[in-house]
Amino acid sequence: MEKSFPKWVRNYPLIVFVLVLLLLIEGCGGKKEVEQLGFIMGIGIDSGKDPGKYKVTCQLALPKSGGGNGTETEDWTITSEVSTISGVIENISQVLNKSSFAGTARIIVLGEGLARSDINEALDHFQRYYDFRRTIYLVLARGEAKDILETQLRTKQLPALDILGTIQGQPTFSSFPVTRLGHYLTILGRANQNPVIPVVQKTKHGEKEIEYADEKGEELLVEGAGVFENGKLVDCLCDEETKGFMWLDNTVKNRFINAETEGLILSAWVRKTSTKFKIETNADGKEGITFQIKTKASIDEIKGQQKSMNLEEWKAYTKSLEPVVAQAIEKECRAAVDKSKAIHADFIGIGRKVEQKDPKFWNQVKPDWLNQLADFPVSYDIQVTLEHTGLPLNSPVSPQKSGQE
Amino acid sequence: MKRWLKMMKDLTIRPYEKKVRKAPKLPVDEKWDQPLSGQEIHKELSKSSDIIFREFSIRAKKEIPCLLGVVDGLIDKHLLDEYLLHVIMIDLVNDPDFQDITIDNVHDFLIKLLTPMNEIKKISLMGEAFDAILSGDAVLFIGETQEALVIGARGWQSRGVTEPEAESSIRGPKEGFNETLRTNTSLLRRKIKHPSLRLVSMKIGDLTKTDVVIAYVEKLARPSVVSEVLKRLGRIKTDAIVSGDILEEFIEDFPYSPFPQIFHTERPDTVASDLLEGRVAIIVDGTPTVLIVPVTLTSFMQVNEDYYERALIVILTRFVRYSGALISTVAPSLYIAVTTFHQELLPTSLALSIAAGREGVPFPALIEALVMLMTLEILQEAGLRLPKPIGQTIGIVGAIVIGDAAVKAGLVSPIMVIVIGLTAVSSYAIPSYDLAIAIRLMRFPLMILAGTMGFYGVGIGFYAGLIHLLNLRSFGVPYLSPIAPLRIRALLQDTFVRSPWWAMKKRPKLLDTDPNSGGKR
Amino acid sequence: MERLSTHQFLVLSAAVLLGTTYLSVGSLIGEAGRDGWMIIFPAFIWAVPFGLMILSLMAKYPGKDLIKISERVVGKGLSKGIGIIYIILVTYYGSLLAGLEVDIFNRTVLPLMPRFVFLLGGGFLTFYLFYSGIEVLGRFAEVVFPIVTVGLILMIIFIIPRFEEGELFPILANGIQPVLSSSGKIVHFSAEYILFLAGLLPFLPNKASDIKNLKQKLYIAVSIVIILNTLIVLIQILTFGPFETTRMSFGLLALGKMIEISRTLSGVESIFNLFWLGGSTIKVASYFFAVMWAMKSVFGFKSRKWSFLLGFISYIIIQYVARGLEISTELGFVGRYFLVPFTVLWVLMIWGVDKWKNRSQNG
Repeated sequence: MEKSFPKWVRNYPLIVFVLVLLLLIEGCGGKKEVEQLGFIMGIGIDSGKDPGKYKVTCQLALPKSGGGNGTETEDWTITSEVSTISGVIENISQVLNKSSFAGTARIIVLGEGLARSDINEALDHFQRYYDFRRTIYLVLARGEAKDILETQLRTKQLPALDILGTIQGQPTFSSFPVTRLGHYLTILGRANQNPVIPVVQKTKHGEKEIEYADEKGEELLVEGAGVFENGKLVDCLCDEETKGFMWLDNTVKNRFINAETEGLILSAWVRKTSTKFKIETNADGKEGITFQIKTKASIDEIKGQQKSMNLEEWKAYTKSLEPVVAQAIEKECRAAVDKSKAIHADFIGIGRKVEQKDPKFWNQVKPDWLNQLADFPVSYDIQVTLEHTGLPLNSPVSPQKSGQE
Repeated sequence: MKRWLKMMKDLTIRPYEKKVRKAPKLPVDEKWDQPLSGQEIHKELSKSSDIIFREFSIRAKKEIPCLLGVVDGLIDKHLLDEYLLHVIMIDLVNDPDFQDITIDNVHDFLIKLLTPMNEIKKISLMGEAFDAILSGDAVLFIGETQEALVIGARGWQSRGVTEPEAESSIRGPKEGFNETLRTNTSLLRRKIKHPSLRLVSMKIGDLTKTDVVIAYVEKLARPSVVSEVLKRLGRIKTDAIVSGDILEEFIEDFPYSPFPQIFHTERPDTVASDLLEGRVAIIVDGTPTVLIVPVTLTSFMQVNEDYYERALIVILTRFVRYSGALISTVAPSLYIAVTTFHQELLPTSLALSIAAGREGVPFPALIEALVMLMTLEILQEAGLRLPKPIGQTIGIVGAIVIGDAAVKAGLVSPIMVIVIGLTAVSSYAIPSYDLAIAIRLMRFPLMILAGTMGFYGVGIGFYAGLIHLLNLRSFGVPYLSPIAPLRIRALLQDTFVRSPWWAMKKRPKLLDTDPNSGGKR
Repeated sequence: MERLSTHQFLVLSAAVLLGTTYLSVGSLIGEAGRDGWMIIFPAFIWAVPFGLMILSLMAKYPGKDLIKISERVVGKGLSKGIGIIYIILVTYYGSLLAGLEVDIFNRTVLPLMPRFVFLLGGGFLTFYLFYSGIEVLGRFAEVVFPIVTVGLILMIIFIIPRFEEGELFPILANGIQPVLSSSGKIVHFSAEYILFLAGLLPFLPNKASDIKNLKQKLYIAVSIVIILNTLIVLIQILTFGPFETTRMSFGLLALGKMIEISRTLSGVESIFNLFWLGGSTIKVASYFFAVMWAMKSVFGFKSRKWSFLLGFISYIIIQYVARGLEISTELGFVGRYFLVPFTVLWVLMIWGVDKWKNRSQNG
């Protein structure tokens, strides 16, 4: 049989290997102690003064030295004008006594100016360089990204972390879309859909109907979204259009929606919802899309209903509120579709949906899709189920207006 | 190079295959095979103060001089006085045939007379006489004849059957082996009352003459394993077996592996259940620990209580044990790899708190961990053999004072202290001390690999360790047995989980020693 | 010498067949686009008939590998030639595979680590496995393959929250043609396994009942690999969309970076890499064994010392022949135009001639 190898190799392999290794390597090969790193939290990109250059803002969190207790960090934000994004890493290393570490970066803020020219090239570095993740969030700044990242927040938090927190809290109140880098690239790959990126903006005390005690402190607000075409910002969606887009995109998890009818205002809490679609030929023999939204919600607040009702009446009354909520949803959806038709950008992905369900028809309309979209019939089939009306069974606030309190 | 290789080869030859040079003979050894002579023995042994020779004579027709040799302390005095000396000196005279006794028939006469003694036999060689006296028997030399009587009257001080301190348990029997071979075999026999329990005895050690008993259950133990055990034990050429644990090194398959290849226990119930699984036990006189072969890695992760506790609970305890073993092996190296190479694995807040903790620490993580682990090893070793009250002080001084001061002084990061503490605590979850030591040994190369190559290094170390384990065999049984080669039933019945007793209808076919079978068939 | 058990044959086959294909299949779906997950089945299924042919030959000539069997069937001269081609092809292909492994580590988790470290580490494991013998490789696969599989399945489960909607539809919108042509580009993944099987024969159990069992295990092994690889491609298409899937060189690693386990772990690809290191070790070791067996059959090299020569040749190929992107293209080229035709022709020829001889003898 085969000759056996000397037994010492069998017996001592690991030790021999470790010894050889120790001789050969002395702490090289990308070894970085964790305290030598400057953790990049967020990156802002604006277009630079010179054409073709970027003004990149890096927001780093540095652990406070000597801090044995917990994660006190110092904020350190640097902006530099470079021709490639990775150039900023080099600049940081020249200024900072730590090497920057991109693995923790969670937010990319795109300046409005850059968005108007081209963001795709600016994003290239983030998908190529291994440290970055495709789960990094993209937000569009109203104004300059630098300003957003340099906001002096009321809470003294890092603006990047603040935006991150807002985005991560999104599922509870789905009022703006969440776009990760990977999602953005996937949508780009679809070729017949326009990507959407949420917009972040600064607010002050008194603006946007928000007030707080520290009147100097600023806040960051995520609202609305920008629609992109080939990396260029085409238009911004207002709040209502954004919400409509989210219904149609099936990205609503939970949210509050206000509905109004005949002197009645109510707020419904959407608990569960799903959106499906089908492509049908309508009465005119034209293909059209129908969005089927099934929503389960509960009533949180009613204003304007003062009549006292018994249980049966209340049940029937609640039932009658369902179409009211459905209308409110439809209104938002319509706003989004109208916008899409108006700006000739298919950010809802109706084309993609047509392709999925009816590839033959899609091949006919494909070359001229954006023009076809303008008069492509869109209909809605919205079913709202109001599961309950909160804790009280009966009518709102005070059943007897006798004022006994 | 070639010479060096040869040297290494010599070094790593299995000891039971090694030819041992014969030790130079002592003068007494030369007398070993000579015919018996009471005077010679008297001369040789009376140099030792503990050996007592009592001369007397039987006054029959012709006076017969007798010499009784015993070792003080090894003989049961009561037995000796009441049934031996009394009978020979007083009762003998009253015997009707007393006058017929001559020097020729005295042996048979005495054997008949001494019926109450349960063990009595004739010997005729010097060596046998030496053995008998020194083992605690009484030897009666009669005149100048070349025959003597060995009368079994052993009885000495021994420790009672107490609960073994090293292997305490909450449930199950509380008895443990002690230093007396007979007690130990009797404990075993009480557990398995079947004729198929075989106890084969032999003597090992030129000077110590240690009694060794090999116990196995016929039909359950593979004959090949039993004969291999006997063969390896028979080959041992050594002067002394002071403790049974010495045997371990003589008979194990891979002496240079850090992993234990022989299981030892002080609990009769463990030995009994192992015997019933088809293993072989080696009981050595003078040692409370019994060696058990063949073993697999997983058998070091089991304790007897697993079989007394209810099956569902055992799933949890075994899971805890296995994860403890895993953590204590890889925790420091993973920490090093993550903090020096793969920071992207850390969630942001954790990365920041680790970085904050390490801020100002002068050493790289690898050195820090090595120093801390070394300190831990020293503390463990220092506390091990100290008297109990002082041992606790070591713990307090070491863990609390040094650890806390080191963190406060900024020499060590607090998270490193947590990691090392976790490592230490996890290693105590491994029931077998031998395995825990092996794992302690494996930690250091793994840490160095992690510190130089990150996860790649950990992977290399892990897989190399795995290949090493796969190479190991214990008396023909692959060391990782129920896992690889896979034995489905053994794996499901009694490895990571234990199935309830009523579900174990068939014996786990764990100890498949057929060299041609590699796995499930 | 120890024979493998049928179960070890199963895991070893699956491990060698799977190798590290799951890392690169994603980027190879090519024009199949969103139907890319279908290319796996045709590309791997052909290992079954060829494996069965080899196993049936083994039943007839027990204790011989396929080169020795060729000697009996078609004569010494031809079989020597076949053996030499076999050695050259498998050495080259196997070394490229090892190089790919180095490339993966170098491009992703440890970009600054010098290449020789990976070569040293991988080489060390391969040699250690080789000197431990085939039965240890079998047991190694028994331990490692489940780990690799569990790793892949965990990854599939954790990535579910990152799925994009509706990336798979419409199915087969562009017809079956692109699927088949993309499939043709990865057929060579299973060729290496068949060649390994050809050398493994003497180590397999050869009782009549065992052979039936082995054939069954072959089916199972191939289906495990097909299922795993299909799932891998599927989740990549579902998360990235077809366009991005082809654009990324190691999509699975990017997937690993996207995993977030409830704010405790983020990006687990370095941990998964640890698992995959085991898979790739089996693959590289299998090629090493195959070449060494062939050298023994053809040249009668009995001593294991020749493995150092082989190691050196591999080192040269890894270090100097192809790097980075070249490796993948080179692998595809050698695989498609040399390895697959050679495998198909050789096995078919030996099997056919053997059948024909039997028939003429009987008839």
